[in-house]
Amino acid sequence: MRLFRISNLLSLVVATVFGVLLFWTSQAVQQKEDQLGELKKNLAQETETVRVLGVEWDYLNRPQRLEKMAVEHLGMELPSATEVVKQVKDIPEPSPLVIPYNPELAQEVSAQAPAKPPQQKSIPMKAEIISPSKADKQSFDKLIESLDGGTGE
Amino acid sequence: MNNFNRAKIQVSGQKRSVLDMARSRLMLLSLFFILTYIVVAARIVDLTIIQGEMKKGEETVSMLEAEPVQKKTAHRADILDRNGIILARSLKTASLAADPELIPDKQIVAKDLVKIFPELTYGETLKKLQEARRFVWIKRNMTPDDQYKILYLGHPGLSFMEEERRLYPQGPLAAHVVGFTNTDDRGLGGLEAGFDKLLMESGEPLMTTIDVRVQHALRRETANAIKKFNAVAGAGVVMNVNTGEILAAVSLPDFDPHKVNDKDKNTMFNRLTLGVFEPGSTFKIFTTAAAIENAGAGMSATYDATKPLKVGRFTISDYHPEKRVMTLPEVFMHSSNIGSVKMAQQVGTEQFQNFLSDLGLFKAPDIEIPEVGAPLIPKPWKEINTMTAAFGHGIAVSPLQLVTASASIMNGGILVKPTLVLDKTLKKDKGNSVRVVSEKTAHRMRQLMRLVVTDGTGGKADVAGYNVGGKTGTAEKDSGGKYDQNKLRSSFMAFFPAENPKYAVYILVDEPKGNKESYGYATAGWVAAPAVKKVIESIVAIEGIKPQDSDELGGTLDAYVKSKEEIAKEKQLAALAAH
Repeated sequence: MRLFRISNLLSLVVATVFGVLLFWTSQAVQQKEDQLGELKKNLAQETETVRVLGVEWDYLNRPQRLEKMAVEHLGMELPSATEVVKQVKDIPEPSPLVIPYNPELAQEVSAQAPAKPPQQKSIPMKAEIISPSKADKQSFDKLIESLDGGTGE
Repeated sequence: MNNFNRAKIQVSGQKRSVLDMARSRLMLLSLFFILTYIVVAARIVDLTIIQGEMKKGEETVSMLEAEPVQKKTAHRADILDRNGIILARSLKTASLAADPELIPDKQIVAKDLVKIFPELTYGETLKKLQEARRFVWIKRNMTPDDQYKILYLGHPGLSFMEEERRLYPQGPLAAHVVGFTNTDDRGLGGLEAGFDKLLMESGEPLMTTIDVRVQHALRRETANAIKKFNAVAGAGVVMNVNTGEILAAVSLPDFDPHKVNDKDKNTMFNRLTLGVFEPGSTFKIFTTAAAIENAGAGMSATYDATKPLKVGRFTISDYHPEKRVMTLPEVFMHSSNIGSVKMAQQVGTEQFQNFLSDLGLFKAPDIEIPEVGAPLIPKPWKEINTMTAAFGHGIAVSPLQLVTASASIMNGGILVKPTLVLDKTLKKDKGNSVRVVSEKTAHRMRQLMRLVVTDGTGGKADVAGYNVGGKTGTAEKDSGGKYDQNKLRSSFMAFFPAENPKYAVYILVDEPKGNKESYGYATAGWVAAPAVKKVIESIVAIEGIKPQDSDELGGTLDAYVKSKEEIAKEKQLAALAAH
């Protein structure tokens, strides 16, 4: 039959292949569009979150609040003009770290290694300083809360 | 055609003619399809390659997207300080609404809601949930954190509505500059109103000249001075004298832009730009500059301040009478009203008027916020007006005008325009500089201002190493047509460093009352000068300005200023001569 001529068959195959390809492409495009939509949505959400965090950051870094905390907890004061150093060489040498004497620790260290130089004693003390106790942390959180409420004016 | 075809068919036999016809129709049909495909192909090339290239970069919206991405919500633009710190920003906030019909267990929901929002009461919330409606508001504008908690509860019938809310993270810090918006996000005051349209449409943040750190220092010190001297109000400004940029602007008492009460005129009133006051002695800066510039008065020019001046029913006398003939620097330093009046008379009414007008003191200043007060100028301006204006009375200007005009002299004589916007493209005019006084006069004024701080009434404003120059101003307040000696307006205008000023710092305290520390004085030298000093110390620390080793201008006018011993000796001599 003329219907099954090679050229006819070939064009049928080609048409089918193209059809499948077209379908596959359109599906792929749709999937990508969906993904894109999702990404855009996430991006918008993230942008909004960043905007919220930006406001929060600047709220927490209000000069009033920083000043109050620095005064209350770090014992800092407003600088006066007489304290401004004119030249680098006027800056005094930093004084060595002073560690309060802890007899228990000293005993421990001397028992372990009696010949150790004294500077190394500072290491366990430092670790203690870095991680505050749970109670300390809680009181600090409470303090921040009270500050938020207190300096809102 | 048909007729012709038919004729042909008849001639050539039926079968062949039918085939012919079919073939020709097929030809036509395929020609049509080929053409159509060519058109389609051409269109594809056009869309993908030609137009596609042109549209690169533009955001394209695809028709294929099953679910269109949420429309980009246009926020009202941010207002930032000069370092990018947020002064105002609009955020999407969620508001909680409920559909009572969908809530099965109303008590539990109400209980949970009260736990999250302690400001709601259980009874009222439950009542809301029991209403026979399909929509009730539970809570407007909640924090993202609370929203998350509600979502975590997972109760049916609760839904969120998105709303815009304007937030001012700095609170009342720069409230009068930034302004506020109403619930529809329209600016109603300050920069919010001044740039309302721009903020709504551009989406680009508005960068102001304010520095929150300097702003805080100025607000803190102004507030401290008000508290310390039990005053009713205050205002202050820090300006860059060369550019007119305002680094800090304060009017106290101020308000929280989140909770604006329009009716509270006391807090809403911007005393810095809208309020006009009799400036008092700070106005002598202009009188003295006019005498030097227009009347050619030198530092050795003398003015007789032995007796109070009588003009009609007025008597002009000095606050700290020296009762002697004084040189120009002495008049300025002791803030002599009599001497200043004589200086203004030396200049002449018309020239004095022109001089003040050139400084921009006769018209409302041009600044980016709507709260601007026009000065009160006597009309017609008579000789007596020249005399009272010489020491800052009988004329009312806003503190902003006063600072701007003084800055125009102190920066070397170029008129500055006050501005709150850092973005140069938004500024109205630029470039053309107008000279108001010569550089020589400016230098003299710097020397005089330095003298006030080293030897005169402004001693409490001196910051070692920063050579502050300034002028005090203590004006009696007008109460019922009379000046009340107990109601003062004390102000101090400072510039530093005096030899080449960069910043002007001005603080005004309204109705200060003297205290023990000030020995009962409530004058500018006791009230405003120490506050200005502290602001300068803060600015120095914030901006990292190095102290200077030398004080170029200090003591340069000593030759024209008599020491106390000299004055005492002269008085003795005069007494002897009288005998």
